[in-house]
Parts: sequence; structure tokens; C-alpha cells
Amino acid sequence: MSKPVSLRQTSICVVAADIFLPVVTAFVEHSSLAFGLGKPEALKMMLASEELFLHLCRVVIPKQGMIEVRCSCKGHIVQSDFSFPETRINMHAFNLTALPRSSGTDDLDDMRMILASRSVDHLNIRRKENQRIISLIKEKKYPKAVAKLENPHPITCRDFAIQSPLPDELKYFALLTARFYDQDDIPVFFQYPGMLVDMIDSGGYHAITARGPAGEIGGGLVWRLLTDNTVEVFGPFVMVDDDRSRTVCVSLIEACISRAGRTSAVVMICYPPESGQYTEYFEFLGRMNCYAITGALRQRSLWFRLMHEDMGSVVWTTPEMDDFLQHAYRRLFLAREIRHVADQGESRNAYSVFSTQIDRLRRQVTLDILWPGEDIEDNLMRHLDLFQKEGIRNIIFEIDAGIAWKSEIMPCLLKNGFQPILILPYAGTGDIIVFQLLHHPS
Amino acid sequence: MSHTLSFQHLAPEYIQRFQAYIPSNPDDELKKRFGCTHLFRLNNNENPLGPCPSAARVIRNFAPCRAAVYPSGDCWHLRRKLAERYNMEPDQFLFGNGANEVIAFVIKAFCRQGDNIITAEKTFAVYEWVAEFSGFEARMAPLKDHAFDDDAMIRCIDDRTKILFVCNPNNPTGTYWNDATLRSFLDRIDGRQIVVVDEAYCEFVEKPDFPDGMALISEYPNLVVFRTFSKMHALAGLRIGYLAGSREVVNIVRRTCVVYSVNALAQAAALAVLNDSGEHVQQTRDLVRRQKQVITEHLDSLGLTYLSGEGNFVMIRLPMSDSLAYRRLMMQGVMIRTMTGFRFPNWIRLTLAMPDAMDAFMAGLENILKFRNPGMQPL
Repeated sequence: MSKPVSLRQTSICVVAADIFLPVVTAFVEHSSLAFGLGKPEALKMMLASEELFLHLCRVVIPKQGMIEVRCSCKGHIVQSDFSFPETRINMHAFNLTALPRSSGTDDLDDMRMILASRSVDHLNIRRKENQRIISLIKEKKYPKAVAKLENPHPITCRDFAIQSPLPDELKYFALLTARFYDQDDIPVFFQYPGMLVDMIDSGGYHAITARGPAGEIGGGLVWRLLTDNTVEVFGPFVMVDDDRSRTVCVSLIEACISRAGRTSAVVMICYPPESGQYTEYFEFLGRMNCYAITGALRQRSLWFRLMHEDMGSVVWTTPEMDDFLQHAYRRLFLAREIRHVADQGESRNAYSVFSTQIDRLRRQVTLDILWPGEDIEDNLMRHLDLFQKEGIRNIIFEIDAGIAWKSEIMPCLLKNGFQPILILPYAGTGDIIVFQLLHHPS
Repeated sequence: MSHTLSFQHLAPEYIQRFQAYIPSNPDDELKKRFGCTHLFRLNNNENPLGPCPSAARVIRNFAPCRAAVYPSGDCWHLRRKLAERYNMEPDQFLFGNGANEVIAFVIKAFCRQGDNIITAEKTFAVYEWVAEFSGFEARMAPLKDHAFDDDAMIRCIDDRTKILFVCNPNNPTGTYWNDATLRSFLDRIDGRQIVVVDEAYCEFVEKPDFPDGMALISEYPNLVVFRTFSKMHALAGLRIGYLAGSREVVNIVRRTCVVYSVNALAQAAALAVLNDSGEHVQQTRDLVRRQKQVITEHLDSLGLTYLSGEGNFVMIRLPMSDSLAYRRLMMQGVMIRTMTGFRFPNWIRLTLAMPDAMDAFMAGLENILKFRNPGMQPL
């Protein structure tokens, strides 16, 4: 049973002034504890909020500006959002790499936002309508599954029904999946069955399983709405013997697609454990390099499926990208009108602004451009240097090709070690072109 | 980059979470985007023969000065004509701007906050959509052997259920309830809820046991029948449909009905249809029957699974994503309907049309089946 919204969310609104620091930190700490973070994690969230609030007061927001701090529980995570109107703010300071005005150094200790990011699992800087939002996200600590399943043999049951699993069934499904699949092929959260249950309970994730008449679990699949129009699928994971495995796999995929078919989802993306099961339902998008914490390199395959009929759309780009885009769209049979952005003589801001999503657990950062500016290349280099110092190797830059001015950064990315690796159709205003840093420019 | 105001908070939650339906773009735009020189629209189950000759004549001769004058607000002549045809009263009919509009009339008339409607999981989506964007729960019973399951629908009923929608024959599976099944269902409901039977495709059915919804209204006052001029009668572009029911029920629904929503040309053309000899209906049935045979033989030769029931359409299961098939067929000038939105992943629905369109579809289908997977080479 989901908790009502009011029990999952708290908020305060304060003037951006140092004097309110204790109010904000106490609010964040106590909210975090109330939402189920352990004492050490709540303390880290509090420390991160302290750094972030001071940075916002001293660098970003003008005097008398207001900040809303909203803490929320989303099942397995606690999130603290700091939001404020974008009018009159110091745009440059919105970058992760921004230094205080008084500092003439590039000492990381002066970068309060990066300090904040070190205490939490995820830090997101983004813009929503006319608000700027910085989110601190801390995951709850869950015990790793230690139970060993006695029966390693595939399940031989003949009849299955696709259903939403009860919590105990979900935990058992996670244990089974770990038993039948390589660790690299399953999402990390499957190793923490309690976390998986909380994720589903939050309503942000959904699960279905193939259940036999005696309660056997023959397979399952998890998905979530990643953005307003994109569904992300994990699975299907199938544990039945060979002659029934295809039936179970197809039933799980069809049930997932059917349930998402009349939602806002336009595109479904997935990471298959076994590609052979996917070719009927999904189309291959491409592969992405993923560096593990150990430094080992692994390639992840991405597949997609459009949930609606493609009406065609416009893609804004620069001439350097033509070959890649024409090849990609021809291969994917997507009707696209490719248009080049051109400098039409507009005056530019001095400073560009990037949004940043840091995923400390996967050592991954995803960048997007929020505001163009004259310093775009310098700003990019500052971010790349910072990530190098932080030991983050998986660096992604996503460009929404449905927004013309965003494409202006493409030549800069290509020049500085990024390569386009795939296109996510309709994942933004238009298609999102995903660039990955293959070679650090230094 | 301008600052934008947000109005999301003004909208009810059920509107905020509802996704607007995006209709297909006009032909000229689609042809440009998909790089095709012609386009066969086989996605909306339209009648390729066009309206019957008398309706065509009315459309051709429609005087421009009539465009300046409001039409009959309640389709006066049409309701009288229908009453005469079905031996009912004019007050037992309500017209709308296509049958889609009368769906909204009925739901608005009978549902209030906390109520629910029941339909099938895999059927025409508009019953579900109208309920949901009006703030009511839509309960979906699974199909049984691709047909509406009367037992499953009845199991979904609770004390807040107001309307049950049955699409007969079902779009998109083409299955139907015969007279005995429909009567049995109505007997079990026993007047406790409104039962809507949507007969949008009834004129295509030639089976003797297919029920005549109109004839059942006198026996079952909670029965509402939907009919349309868009499919068999080929007036889809004019948007006109209607409902029929007992005087008591229609009197309630009328309170939510938007008058003047049916334009003068649509009313005049529909009246011509009702006065037609029936030859056009027979010609259309002959065409559908012939093309159904051609297509199903071709599908058999390709080893594809399909559902070919009643109606001017066939549903086909493909060994690839239906949205990929749509794009690849579009590039060959053939437009079909993907079925993911109907909860049939990897199925497409094909309108049975003229031989040239069917030939283009069959050639396009063979092309895309030859090369099913566009490949796994990195970009």
C-alpha cells in the first residue's frame, strides 16, 4: 500500500542568508531520519545540504532571494531539492565547477557543490520551467541478500500467469535472478531485495512476474518511467526450462508493453540480459562503454521501441554530425529532417551553464547544456578536469536535438574527446543524441 | 529563451497524468517526411468506395450560402428518419460530432466522482480515455479468445459501476457477441447499469446470429446503441454519429449533449445515406469480402498469424515491433495502424481497401519481412 503524498514530503521556504543555515540543516537531517535514512546517511545528507545552502547564499542567489527546500521519500531514496526562481541569479555559479567570487584558485575545497556531491549518492542540477533545482539524493542502506537458494535447477512448471508480485514474491524473484544470471547482467538493486520492494512500493518502479499455480516464479521484469516520455526496462529475467522460456519471456515483454502502451510513454529503452530475446520486440540502438569501479571496461547494449506511430521530426545539428546522423536514421528507419544550426548574429552570454547528474554509485556523470555562452569550451574543460580529479570515468553528454541552440555545442564536444554513440528517439523535446567521452583531451 | 509560466497546478491530477492523443499528420506532411510519392491510408478503416451516390450528390451540390446558417441544433430530420426506420420515437436518438462525442455524452450523464465504467482491456480506447480524463475509473476486463468476456466484465462490477461498454463487433479483433450472448448479458445486468453496445462496424457483419441492437432497446431500457456514419457510410470527414436508447435514458443523456455540434453538410449527407437503396452497402461488403480473402491467403503463404473477423479490417501479428513495421511501410507509401496502443504489441491493423492499395501493402510487407532486423552494428 502506498503512503499518501503528505507522509512522503516536507518543505520549508527561507531567505537565502547564512543565518538560516541551522534551520535548513536541521530540517534536512530530521526529515531524512523521518523518511528512513540511517543516522550516518542522514548526517551526510545534512553535511551536503550545509555546503549547498552556503554556496547558494554566497554565490548564486541575490540578497533577499528565497529558497524552497523540499525533502521527499521515494521508496529507497531520500531526496532534498533546493529550488529557486532563475531570475537574477548568478548564472555562472550554477555550474558544478563554480568557485566563490573571492577565490582565485581552482582548489576543490572551494567548490561547495562538488563537496556536497561527495556526501550523497546522486547530485542533479537542472532547470524546470522557470525554476532552478539542485537535488541531493541519498539511498537508504539495505542489507545485501545473503540467502542461498537450494534449488539451482530451472523451474519446470507448465502454466504461468503474469501478475504484480507481492513483496515476498518480489524478494524471491530477486534471489532467483541472482542465481540464474551473471552479476553483470542484472541491475545492482536486484542484489538488495529489500530495496527492490521499496522501489516498487514508491510507485516509481513497476514489476511483474510469471507465477505458476503453486507460487513458482518463472521470471520477471522491472520498469520505470525514466522521464515523462521514456520507459526504462530491466529484464526480462527468465528462470524456466528451455522449451517454456520463450513463452515466459514473450508474456513478460508483452505485459510490460501493454501496461505502458496507454501511458505518456513514447519510447521504451532497455538493457537486455540476452539479446536474442529482444529482436522481435525491440530495435538495437547501440553500445555504451561502462567502466566499473575496478576500472574494468564493459559494453552495455541499448535497445528501444517506439510506443506510438512515428510522425517524423526535426533534428538540429551541425555539419560535423551529418554522417553519423544520416547513417543512424537510415538504419533506424526514422523519418527526420536534419537542419543545421547557424550563427545568426545573436549576442551571447559570457557564461554557459551545464546541468549535471552525478551518479556516485556507478561513477557516472551525465551532462546537458542549460544555457549557451562564450566560455562553453572552457566550461566543458573545467568540468572534465573536475571529473578526472574525482575519479569519474563514465562521462556522458546528452544533447536534445529538438532544441536548435543546444546543438551549437556539438563541434566542441567532438573536438574534446567525445563521440556520438547513439540516439534516443523522442527522449526529449526531440531525439536525444548521446555523446560519450572516449579520450580525455588532456 | 523566455521564462514560462506553469499552469499544471491548475489542472486536476487526472488531467495532469493523462497523455493527449496525437492524430497522424496530414498526407502532404507525411509524404515529405517519409520520402514517399504516394500514400495509401490503411489505418482508419475508412470505406475506399466513398459515400453512396446520393450522399455524394448532396455533398457536391451543397450551396455555399448554407455555410453561413446554423444547422439544425438537434438533427431534427435525421432523428425523424431514424425513428421511422426503426419504429421508435425521434426522442430516442441523439446525434454527435462523430460517435466519439456521444461516448462523452453518456459518461458525463451517468458518472460522478468515485464511479467507474467497465470495458475490455483490448478494444477501442476512447471509452477508457474519456472516463479517465473525466476523472472516473475505467476498469478493463481481459478478452477471452480475442472476444469480450461477459463473465469477466460482470466480475468487475461493484456498486459504483455505472456503464459497461461492449464493442460489437470488436475493434480491432473482429469478434462479436451473437444475439443469445448479448441477451444473456443484458439479462444478467438486469437494468442495474447502463449497457452501451457500440455498433460502429455492424453494417459489415453478414452473420445471421449478429444481434440487432436497435430491436433490443424496447426490451432492455438500460441499453444504449452507438452507430456511426464514418465507416460503412464513408462520411468520416464530416464527423457524424448517434446513439439510440429508451426515452428515459436518452432524456438524461440529452442534458449533457452539445447541441449544434453536427454541421449542416454532415446532416444532409447522412439523410441521403438513410434514404439510399442499400446497393452501396452491398458493394462495400463485396469489396471487403474479396479483399479479406486475398489478404488472408497471402498471410497464410507468409506463415503469419492474423485475426480476420467481422469488419473491414484484419489484424496481423508481425515478427517485429509494430512501430518499426509502421515506419518501414510508411517509407513505401503504406500507412497501417500500430496495435501497441490497443495493448497488442507487434500486431498491426490493416483496413481492407481497393486492390491497388492491397497490392502495395503486400509488396511492402514482403520487403520488410525479408530483412526483419535492421542490424546490430554500432552507429
